Amino acid sequence: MLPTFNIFGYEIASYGFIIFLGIIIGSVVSVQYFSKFYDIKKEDIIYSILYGIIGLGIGAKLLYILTNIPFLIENYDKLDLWETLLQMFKGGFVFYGGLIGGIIGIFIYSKQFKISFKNLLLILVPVIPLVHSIGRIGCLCAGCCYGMEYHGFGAIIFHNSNLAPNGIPLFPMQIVEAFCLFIIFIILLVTYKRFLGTYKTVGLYCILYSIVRFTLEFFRGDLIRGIYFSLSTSQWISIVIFIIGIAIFIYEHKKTKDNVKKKEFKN
Amino acid sequence: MEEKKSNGLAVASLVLGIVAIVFSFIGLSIPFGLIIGIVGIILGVMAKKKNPCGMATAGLVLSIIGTVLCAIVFIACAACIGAIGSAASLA
Repeated sequence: MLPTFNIFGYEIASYGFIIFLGIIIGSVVSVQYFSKFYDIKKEDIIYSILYGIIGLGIGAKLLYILTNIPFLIENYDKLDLWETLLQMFKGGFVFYGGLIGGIIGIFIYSKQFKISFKNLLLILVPVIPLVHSIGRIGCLCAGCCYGMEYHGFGAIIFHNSNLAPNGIPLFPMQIVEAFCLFIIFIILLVTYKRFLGTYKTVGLYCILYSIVRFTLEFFRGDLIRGIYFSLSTSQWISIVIFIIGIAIFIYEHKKTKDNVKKKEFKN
Repeated sequence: MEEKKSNGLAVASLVLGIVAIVFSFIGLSIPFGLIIGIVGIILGVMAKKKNPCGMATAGLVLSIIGTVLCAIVFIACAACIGAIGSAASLA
């Protein structure tokens, strides 16, 4: 759609620019709103976001490379090694890798400077769907993460994309996912105070996003993706993330029950 | 001794930040600028936490600017696959 644009003759990739904008908006929301509920310095939140972004980049790239290893082995003879390496570095991230990498980045920061990992996580997790939602608009501009062929309402037709098939009506995958992610953000925002001090916000995010991702993967049109036992890599990870989300809820529920019992016993 | 060490981190962060910014303007060196900027950010944060001086702040800010410039110019596509596929079809 609009993969690049020019500012003072300097070519900027829309995807990178929109992701950058999303991170700025997400950081402002977490520092200005979510940090109010926990005793953590604002500068620590900003630094942990920086560590998280670094982890996110590394994780997303690593999972991308991992999912492409079978393709690389299969097409070893056809590929120009230098061009492939450049393309691998330049484009292609897998969100779930980024999510795991980002959490590891925040964990490293909390351990390095002895700050509560739980509190940092609870401040930063609610803004992940917001940043991700904005990022999906970047996907729309770049023409990646496109949907399958579709002739119904809201179909998108790319005309000069290097990634999406041109001239074919496609399911508006990026817009639908961006909308779903924004709804997840609103749900997390509304339930935030109720789940304060517990991992339930993290659990709820895991459950909601894994359901959305698992479902939307069936409508994806970008075929060169890891498929194992008729499900994509992201769908398999979605199942694991969903189970983690449920486990978090069970753990928190049990913890609350135990605390009530202890209180009753004391009284 | 501790202050000296954090000053060293601040200087290193400042230098890496400047190098990352310079690299962001030179086509082929942008990927290296991205890596250098990331290292600069980590060193800048460490310097700020140990001894929050002006140089550490400058190093951190320049490293962030350098990394962002490299990233938004270089990272053309996206949260999905496609790139390798297009490389394969070109070959």
